[in-house]
Amino acid sequence: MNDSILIIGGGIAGINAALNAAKYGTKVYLVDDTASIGGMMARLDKTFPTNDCSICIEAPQMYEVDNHPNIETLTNTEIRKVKKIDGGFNVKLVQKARFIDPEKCTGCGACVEACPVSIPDEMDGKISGMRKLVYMPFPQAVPNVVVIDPDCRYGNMREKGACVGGCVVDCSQCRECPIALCVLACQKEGKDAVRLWQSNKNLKLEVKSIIVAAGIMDAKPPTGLHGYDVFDNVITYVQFERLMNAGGPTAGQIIRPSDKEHAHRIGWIQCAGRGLDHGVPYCSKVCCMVAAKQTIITKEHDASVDTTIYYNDLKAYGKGFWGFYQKAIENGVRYVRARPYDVVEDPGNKNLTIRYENLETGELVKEEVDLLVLSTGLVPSDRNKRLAKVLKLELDKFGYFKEKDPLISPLETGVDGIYLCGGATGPIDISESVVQATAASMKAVL
Amino acid sequence: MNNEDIRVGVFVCDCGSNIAGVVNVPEVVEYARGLKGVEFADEGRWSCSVDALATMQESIKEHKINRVVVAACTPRTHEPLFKANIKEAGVNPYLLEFVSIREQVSWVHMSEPETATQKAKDLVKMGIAKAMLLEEGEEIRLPVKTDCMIIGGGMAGMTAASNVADQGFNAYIIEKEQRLGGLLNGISTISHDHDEILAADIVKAKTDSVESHPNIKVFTSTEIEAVEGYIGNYKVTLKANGKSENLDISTVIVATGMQEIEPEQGQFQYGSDPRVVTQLQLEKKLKAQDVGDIKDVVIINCVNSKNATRGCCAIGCPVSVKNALTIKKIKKDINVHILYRDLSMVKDEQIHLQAAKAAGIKFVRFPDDRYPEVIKNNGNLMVNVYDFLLGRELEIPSDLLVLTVGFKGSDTVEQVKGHLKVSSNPDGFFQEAHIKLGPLDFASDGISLCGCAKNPKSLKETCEEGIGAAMRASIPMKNG
Repeated sequence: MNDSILIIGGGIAGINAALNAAKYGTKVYLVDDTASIGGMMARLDKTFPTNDCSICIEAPQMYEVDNHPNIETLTNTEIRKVKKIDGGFNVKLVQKARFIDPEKCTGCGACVEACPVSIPDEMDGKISGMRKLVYMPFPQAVPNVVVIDPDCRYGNMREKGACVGGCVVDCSQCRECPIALCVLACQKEGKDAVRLWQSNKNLKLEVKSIIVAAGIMDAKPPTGLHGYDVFDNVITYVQFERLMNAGGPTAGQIIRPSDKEHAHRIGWIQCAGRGLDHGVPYCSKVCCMVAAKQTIITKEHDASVDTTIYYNDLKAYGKGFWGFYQKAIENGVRYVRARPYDVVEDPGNKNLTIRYENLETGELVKEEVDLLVLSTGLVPSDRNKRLAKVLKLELDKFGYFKEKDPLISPLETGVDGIYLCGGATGPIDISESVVQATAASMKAVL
Repeated sequence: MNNEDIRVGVFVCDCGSNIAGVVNVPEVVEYARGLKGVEFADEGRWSCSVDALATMQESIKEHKINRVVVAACTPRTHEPLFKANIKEAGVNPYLLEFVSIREQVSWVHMSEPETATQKAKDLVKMGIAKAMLLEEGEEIRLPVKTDCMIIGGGMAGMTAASNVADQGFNAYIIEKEQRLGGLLNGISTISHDHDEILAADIVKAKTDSVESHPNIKVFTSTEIEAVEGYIGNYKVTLKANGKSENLDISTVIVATGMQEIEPEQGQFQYGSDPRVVTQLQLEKKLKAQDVGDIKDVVIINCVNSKNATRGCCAIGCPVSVKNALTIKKIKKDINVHILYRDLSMVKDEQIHLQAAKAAGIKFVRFPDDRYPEVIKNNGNLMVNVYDFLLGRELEIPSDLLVLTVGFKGSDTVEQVKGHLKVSSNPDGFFQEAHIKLGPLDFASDGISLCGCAKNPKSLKETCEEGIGAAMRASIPMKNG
């Protein structure tokens, strides 16, 4: 019988499941559909309640994954078909081309420098994050290998200045490219790792069990919610996290989208959209601490910035969380129990006026801020539906993977041999994800 | 080896622009070259890249380098890589000195390139001096057998034991009480999907499977007298009925649970009036399906929690809603009020909250700094509370007043801390190795932690931690 396991999702949950299983002595395939493992944690600036730098504590684990002889990491790879067989599963996967030979690429970045085209980054577009057509997902990416935008290859980016040689042939038709700047730059470094003609690769695995660690997403506010998508200076809490991140698009400068000026008065609306038609129906449990962290870090950047958190219920459930909230107050963060009902923009300076009901006094209040952050909560990953179909798993009414019996057999699913952990099960923080990942790995290796 | 034979190689990394963007790396390399003992110094754009590592090996061989200094990002992530690399080049891995000029220089002195370069030089100089004193090291391997001791026979401990034993390892559960089950023995029901299930059923199923497992040995009414040794080699002395027994143990799992913090005498009439109880005392009544002949129940949440000394009790919101619903089930026409400060219900808990509202349970929010007052009037308990959503004072009669209090660690915490040399916080909850990434470990190898001994949590989370702790304890046992 095959003794290996498959882990779907290379975020902090998948990484910990992989490391535990690998150390136990089990062969692990760790699959992620993005170009690097790391997941949501790699995007964060700091972690509550200790303000540890997120990537700095995650990177060593990512690195350990990369070097562990029992772990094979398959990035840019999607699960296509899963068939239950005796004692396990047959899995078909597709590894999407990254148009780079990973054996030859050293992550030197010469091709990135050479690429003449910058486009808005998927992650950081709203806050003016840009990336090249050939790019490293983030500096600590594992594998440390660049990836080329497929649009580049099909010539869709020629108008923007890609393929300056004016070649009209699609890259898949040609096995040598003497003119692409990335190819030349790579050759100049003596590596020749660019493979513009690379195609998708079909893979087959046989494993005895599967762990679903497909993660969770921040909820995107509906257009118009507190001015989101209508007013420039209304952003989400994850966009703010990227803003204050030294590795983010503004190198940690907390500047507002409209004029790239530093924001001096920042407001956070907690539970934004909660209970509304397109909003999150439940408490996502992390946003209160995320806001406390973001205000504390903002104050560390510049103590003179006014920070106000408009909230209803405070969730401070974990170890050290209440103390963290108190620290925010000590640092001068203003907490207002409020029900915001309206946000208007000053068309001249693009400042925002929030109108809200102060829940403690019943008064209607108007306040002006430079930047407004919406804490929108967490929702099921948009991968869940497709993945549930492939794995023949059920989703619950919210769209998270359903456990067979949360109390008697936590983390087990309706299919024997498939286990869950992390954000796939619901709103969760990092340490809880690690706990579940460790538990799921126990079940998976047995 | 005497000093003349020492040949230091220095490799300074640009880390792309991470270091070179601030520090003048060529200057640091030039400086290093001039220092005593240095045979070779070089700059690398990304010293950790595959080609740079190969070049490093060649340089080591070519220049007969026997001490290596790498000045780069951080040893936390990259030391193992460079250790392995110099080992491949034939140098003992303990002859590597790692100097962090990214975390300790370029990232913290971004705006002062000149002084940053000076600091990088100083650190490199110190690294070279230290490297010259390094001696070869050997890694030794200690055998770890397969005997795991689990301290605490509640749900966390039993779950951990089952998972350890299912692998063929031996699990020894040490329980100070007469029977297994821990905190759950005193609880009526557990919320489950859209319903409740009896806690007693859960305890019984788990206890039965644990007690009948051939690889699990249960010691009840037993205390730990002494623990000596280290991972793979603990000598444990147990004490039961005045007799002592010795165990040879390989790994330890701590699952000692938690207990309610009793309210102060007289607080909300607690202690002076039998109608005032804590949630766990209420659970007993609910378990017996006997709340007495009552009409009005008031539950006050966050009692002695979320103040200057103590944080959120973590489970009070869902527990109060669950118990309120159970009371309604016992007798539909009992009025139930839940007085709360914050009510945040995650995922399925939100469904229970809606069910509670539909069942007619009233929720009253009071301000953080204005707790309800309980007065006795003609023998009747009256609760005065300022409902800040309504903006007025309410007077609610109560013939059963339930206080949702916080929790602290078990009474045995101090003892266990002494035996295992681990630490706890002021509330008697054990301190994990890393709050985010080491939630089930202690700082010392071979000891793991799970359940409410770490902090209050739901039954589901407790069981997950039990399984996880079993994995942490099993890794060294599996590898021998």
